[in-house]
Amino acid sequence: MDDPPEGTAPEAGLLALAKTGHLDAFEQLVALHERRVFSLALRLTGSVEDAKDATQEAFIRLHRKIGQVDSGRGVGPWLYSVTVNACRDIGRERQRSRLVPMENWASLAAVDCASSPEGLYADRQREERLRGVLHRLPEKERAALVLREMEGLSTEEVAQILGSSPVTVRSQISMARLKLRKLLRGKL
Amino acid sequence: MTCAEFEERIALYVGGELAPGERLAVEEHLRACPECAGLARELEEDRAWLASRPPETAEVDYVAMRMEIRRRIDRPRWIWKWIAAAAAVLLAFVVAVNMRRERQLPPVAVRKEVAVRKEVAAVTTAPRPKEAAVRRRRVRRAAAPEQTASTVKIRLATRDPNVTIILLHETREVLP
Repeated sequence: MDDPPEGTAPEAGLLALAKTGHLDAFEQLVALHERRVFSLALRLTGSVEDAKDATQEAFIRLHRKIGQVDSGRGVGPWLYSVTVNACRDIGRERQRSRLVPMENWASLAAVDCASSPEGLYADRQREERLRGVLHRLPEKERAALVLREMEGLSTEEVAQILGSSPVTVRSQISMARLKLRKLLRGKL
Repeated sequence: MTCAEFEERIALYVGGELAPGERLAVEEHLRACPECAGLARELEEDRAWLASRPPETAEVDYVAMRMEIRRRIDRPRWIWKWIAAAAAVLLAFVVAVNMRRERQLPPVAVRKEVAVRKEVAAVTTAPRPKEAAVRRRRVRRAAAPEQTASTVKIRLATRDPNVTIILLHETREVLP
């Protein structure tokens, strides 16, 4: 395999090679981002199997359009966009509901997660419940909230990824925060 | 403005997403309203908790996932290679069949004569002597060998004066 050009960041070199059709370089790009993409997909779909499918689909879509990726910005923004779209497509395709009951949320929230095995177990439970709570939000509000709060993107970046205006995204985030607060405290 | 009307703005305020003017109005309201101040605190807690969540770590075989991605990327390439190979074989077959057929056919001049004879035989069953002679002259003229590639037009009269048979034969070959 050709080495990435000297003096460039590893991702930029891999991206340049991948754009020439170098499959090994593309595979290394996948290895760099797969965990983050899967994590985002899992939060958006609420299902491990769907998240796996969405992750694969996101990278295949990235491969198809890799020539259009701006080398200066890297694959990050593209990956967010294709992952959100892949999750949305999979969600619509399957039309399944994966709601997680919320009745024990309050007790779990009270446990100190890092201090004991019980805490670790509770932390895992909270993650699963978080998935369930997120999945009870409308699709667009969920995507906006996850990208803003959990991926740390700005409102403008989220708007670009979701193909909406910043004003719309602000409204979605605001509604999602209020609903999430009620869901986490069993008020909804 | 009521507390309910402030809710959405408070939800944006905690994320720093309000314009300066709106932010001041919300801050003023929060100082005056303990209930809305409580709402803002809870929203801030939720934000902090969400931001502190580590990436999801479900059991996933990433190597297998990468292999599957590569397999799906490679598949279309193989499909196109097979389609191209099949098209090439089909084209070669069609060309070969055409060449073989061309070799089996008699030369154009012979073909033309045979065709003319057949036509004459078909239209001259018990012809009147004078008409037959005219027809033969026309046929002979039409069947005369040509020096260059051209269109051969054969006009044949039949017993029925309203029916005339016109044969057209176009060739691109240069005849000797």
